[in-house]
Amino acid sequence: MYKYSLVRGKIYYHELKQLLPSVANLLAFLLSILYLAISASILTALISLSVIADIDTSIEQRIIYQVGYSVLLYFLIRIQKSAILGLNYKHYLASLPAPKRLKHTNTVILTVVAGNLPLLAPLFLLMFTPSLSTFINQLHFPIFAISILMVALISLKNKTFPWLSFVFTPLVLVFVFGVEDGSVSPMSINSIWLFIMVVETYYEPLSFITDKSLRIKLYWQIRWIAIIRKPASILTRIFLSGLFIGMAAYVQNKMGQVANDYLQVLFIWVLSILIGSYQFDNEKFYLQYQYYLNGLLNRAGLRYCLDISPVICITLISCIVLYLWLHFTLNLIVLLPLEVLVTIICVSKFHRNFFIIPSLLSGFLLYTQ
Amino acid sequence: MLVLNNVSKFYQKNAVLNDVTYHFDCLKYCIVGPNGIGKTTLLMLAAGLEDLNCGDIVFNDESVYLTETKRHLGISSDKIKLPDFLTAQQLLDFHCSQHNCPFPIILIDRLGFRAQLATQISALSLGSLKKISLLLALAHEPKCLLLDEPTTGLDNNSREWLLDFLHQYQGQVIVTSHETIFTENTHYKLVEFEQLNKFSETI
Repeated sequence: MYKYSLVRGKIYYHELKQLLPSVANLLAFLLSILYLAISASILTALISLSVIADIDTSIEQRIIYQVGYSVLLYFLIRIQKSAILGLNYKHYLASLPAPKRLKHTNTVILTVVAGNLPLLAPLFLLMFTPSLSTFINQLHFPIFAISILMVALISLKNKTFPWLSFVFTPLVLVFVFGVEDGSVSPMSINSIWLFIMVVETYYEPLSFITDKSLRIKLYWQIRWIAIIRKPASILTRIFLSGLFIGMAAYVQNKMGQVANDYLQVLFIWVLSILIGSYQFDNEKFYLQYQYYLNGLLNRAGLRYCLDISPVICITLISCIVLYLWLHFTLNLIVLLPLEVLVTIICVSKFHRNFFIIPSLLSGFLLYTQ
Repeated sequence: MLVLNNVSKFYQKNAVLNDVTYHFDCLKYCIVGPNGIGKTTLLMLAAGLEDLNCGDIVFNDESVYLTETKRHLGISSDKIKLPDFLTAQQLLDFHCSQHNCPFPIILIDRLGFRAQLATQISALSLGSLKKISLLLALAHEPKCLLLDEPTTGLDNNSREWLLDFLHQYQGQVIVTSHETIFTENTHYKLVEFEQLNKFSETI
């Protein structure tokens, strides 16, 4: 029994080490520049629990915080899915004569390790419920805690992103109940959301996106399937960008003021490096399928433009969020796509030294502010 | 017809091809030579998949690096790593969409590949990988076929069908092989790889 757990643990550790190089360049940059900020940003998700636990939180705010928290946890576990389940060694693991219960127990333990604080914190907070009546009166939070467990299950079990639970349902709930606050209780909101999540765990209505019968006619479809099959890198970027923007929003909220131009330039600089470094994955793809891609009839330039489009999408969404939510100035907002493009080109040209030119550009802008 | 004009290709300091000029004027060729000498590289260059260090390669007077020329070339080689996250059906669909050609269902049946269409490339056996590689080379009926060890790993039925198919093929066929079915076949002009190089010594 001990030996099986040891093997699973070693596989988890080894897989994480394999995962790290893909974001190593990025992490090295972030850790050297924002050592304290990155550590602090992880705490922002936990702090948002106080908003979620408060029964007087508005419906709209509750849904935003709950979905934000769940999406962050989803990405945190999803990135480590292969490591948790030992997917690269699944045939070997299946050949071991370990009982199913032991295998499941190990998966649960590794999931807890992978999800750590964001996964355990809601359950931990439940232990401090003062009385049974408080527990019943504030039933929305235990339901949320169960939802968090469902998020962990979805991260491991489902093949596709849970659009129904994380996008469509929250949007419908905000539009239907968010307008007239108080028309529905937090418990009902959380129950509906939990129900949808349970449904989506066992039935993936949007799984046709990765369906093997999908007819491939255009190049972008090939790249789309490649991203879906190995989503760790793009999910890491979305996760870190979300975390970073969330951290900035929290700091702004607490300080009660909008960040000044210097801070905005600094923020855009880090975010552009974070998002633009996704180009490392495209370069890896070009190298891996070099001869096949060279044989295609479409132009390499067109492929390049199509391959950076997911990053451009993330950038544009970030721009909208920064402008509408964090009230960044429009002049500086346009800098983000520009710096992301510069970063992408620098990754293609200079590889590991990719961040020098975007950093100089930001330095120049700071100087001129 | 395929023409190599003063072609040179180096890997670090090793010259695989050194100032090679050769006109492939016949319809069928078999290139022979020891393992690792550069036969596959030659096919990759001829298909426009690798960059040259010097010279140029043309097919029907057009550079093989042009998109329009690539339409007339078909290559099968184990060195070409196919997108292993797609199914064979998806890969063929995309290929046919690119070349505006019909789905090669007859070829698929002749090679006994229909059952593997829904299988992901990463899960295909060695023989099936060879078949999908051949299907990609043949599907658009190119004017020039470049086949690297085309019979390796094929089952007997597929192998016999392929040999017969190549024998009757209207376009140019250039294969690299060690098999006597090609090397001792009078329909194929035998080319010793070493003879292509004017200077084969290391620079």
